[in-house]
Amino acid sequence: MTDYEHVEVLLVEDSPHDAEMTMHALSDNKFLSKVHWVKDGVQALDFIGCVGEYAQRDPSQLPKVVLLDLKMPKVDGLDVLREIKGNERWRGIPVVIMTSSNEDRDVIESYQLGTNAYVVKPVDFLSFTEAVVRLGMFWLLVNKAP
Amino acid sequence: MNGGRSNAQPGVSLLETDLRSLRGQALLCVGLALLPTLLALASIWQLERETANAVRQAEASDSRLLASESLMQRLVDAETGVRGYLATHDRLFLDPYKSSVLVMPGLIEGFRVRRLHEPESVFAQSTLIADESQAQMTILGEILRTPDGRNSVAVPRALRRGKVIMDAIRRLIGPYQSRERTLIAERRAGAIADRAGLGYALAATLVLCIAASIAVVLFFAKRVVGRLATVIAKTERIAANQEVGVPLRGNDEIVAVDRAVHLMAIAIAARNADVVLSNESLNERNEELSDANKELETFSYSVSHDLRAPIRAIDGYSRRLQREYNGHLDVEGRRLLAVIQEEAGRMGELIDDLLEFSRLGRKEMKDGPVDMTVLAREVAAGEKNASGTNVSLAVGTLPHTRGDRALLRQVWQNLIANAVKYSSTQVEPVVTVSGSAEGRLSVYHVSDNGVGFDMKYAHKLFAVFQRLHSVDEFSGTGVGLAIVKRIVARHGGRAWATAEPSNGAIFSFSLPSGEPE
Repeated sequence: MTDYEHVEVLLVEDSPHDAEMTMHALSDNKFLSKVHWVKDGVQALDFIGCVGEYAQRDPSQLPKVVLLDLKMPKVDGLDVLREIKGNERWRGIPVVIMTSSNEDRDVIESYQLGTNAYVVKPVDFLSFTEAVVRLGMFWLLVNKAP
Repeated sequence: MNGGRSNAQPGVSLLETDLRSLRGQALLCVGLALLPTLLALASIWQLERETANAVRQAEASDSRLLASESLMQRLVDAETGVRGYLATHDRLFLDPYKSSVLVMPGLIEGFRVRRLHEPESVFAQSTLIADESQAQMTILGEILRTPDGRNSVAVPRALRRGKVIMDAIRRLIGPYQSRERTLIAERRAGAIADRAGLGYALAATLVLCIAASIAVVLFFAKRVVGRLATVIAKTERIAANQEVGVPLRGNDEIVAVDRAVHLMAIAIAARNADVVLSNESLNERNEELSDANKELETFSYSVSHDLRAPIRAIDGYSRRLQREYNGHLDVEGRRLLAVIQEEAGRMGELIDDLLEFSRLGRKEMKDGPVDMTVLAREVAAGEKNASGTNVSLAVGTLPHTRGDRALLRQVWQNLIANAVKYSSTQVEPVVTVSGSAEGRLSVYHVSDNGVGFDMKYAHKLFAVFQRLHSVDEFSGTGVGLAIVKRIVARHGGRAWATAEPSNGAIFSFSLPSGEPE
């Protein structure tokens, strides 16, 4: 039985290796227990909305930050972002786009949809780890959530 | 041999002019206008002739009157002369007779000639006068020839006969003369009437001429101007891209113009259709192009996403291996891991450069004046700091240009960085930036005293991923010069290089001049 109540970071990432590396980076800094990983947009929305697989989850417990990949099968990152920012109850959840794309149009559209940050995943693992750790630190420790 | 007569050229002969043509109609109208004038002229001529005839006849009558008076006078002179001689035997009295003898035959002969239109009775009288006059002259001649005339019995008898003849002549000549006088008066009066008629005829001709001319002008105005207005309206409709309308009927020059206008309208319509067609194909081509562009975008988007993720994994997992399993690896194992990480890093760079290059082709370009001296100096200063070498970097005064400042900065960045990189093996590396205005172009050069290259590879320099040195000698992906070429080309300029192995290289590019006009 998974304990969803302590989830503070929702990681939406279709690449298992990227997900593993992200969680590894966070684990080094003791955030691991608070991370939940879903593989696509549908699961992400199910988790936040407490439906389907996540029906028993307490809807009042919102993640402190969503790390969201853009390019995913079925419902992609921009769709998830649109859903979250278009929902009155969820709008307050900080969403950080974490993607390989540094195409201008992705950046622009993400901010138009209301993302809180846009991070291009570095190819270099060390830079990547550093970026993830900084993100975690900022959104979980520094940032004051509503 | 030429068969038959060639067709008449237009306008060569009046007879061959088509009366349906405007020219033919014009000629016809002028002809119609001239016809009454010609008739009037003919009648004037006739009148004039008659008048002249009457005058001539009057003159002839005059001379006949004169001749009859003269005849009478001569007869009297001759008789008086003969009587005087008989009485005195002085030959001086014979002088009038002698001069009469000379003149009389001619006068008598005149009375024997019948004049034109002279009635038979009048001519009979005239002949009778001539006969009697001849007889009188014969009698007078006989008297003078009689020997010893004064005493002869024959002389008084002859004189008596002569008196009878003279009386007869006087009886004949009186009515004759009065008739001639009447004729003269009649003919004079006729001539005066004819002259008055001539004046009327002239006036009538003038009036007819004016009336005919006005009629011709009005007819042409109606026929020509009205239809010309129709044709003009058609050309205006063509200009306004409207329907031309119905062609004029007929066979004259205006109809020919109208036909030409219709042909022109058809040609214009055909050309318009062509333009529409080529516009359509242009639009299709544009759509294809924009489809291709979208495909390219999608492609580079995928490259950006999907090519990076595996590299990140390779790098990430090898680093975890290095860190978490360091104790299980010997020196060679650690070297192999380092190579994996290095190559993964290079792959990342290649992908980034490739994406950058593809983005350049699609990026919207800004346009504005660019001070190339300032821009090149900023870049040069940055490169000198970044390189950490003792390179001597000089930037001269450069001509201005127009374009996208950020993109042009990248051109300087790539060229100056290259120059610094390839001269870094020299003891005293020198990089010089210069430029000059050449007509409507600004030309810029970046020269170095570095390794240079063989000109036979020059054509490869500006292609993507083409390098003339191994990565061991000089680092780099081979995209920098391709980016330079693409930016310069998008500004309407050209990039080229000249070099010699081990003797430095000069990279040059031209751009449109940006000097204020």
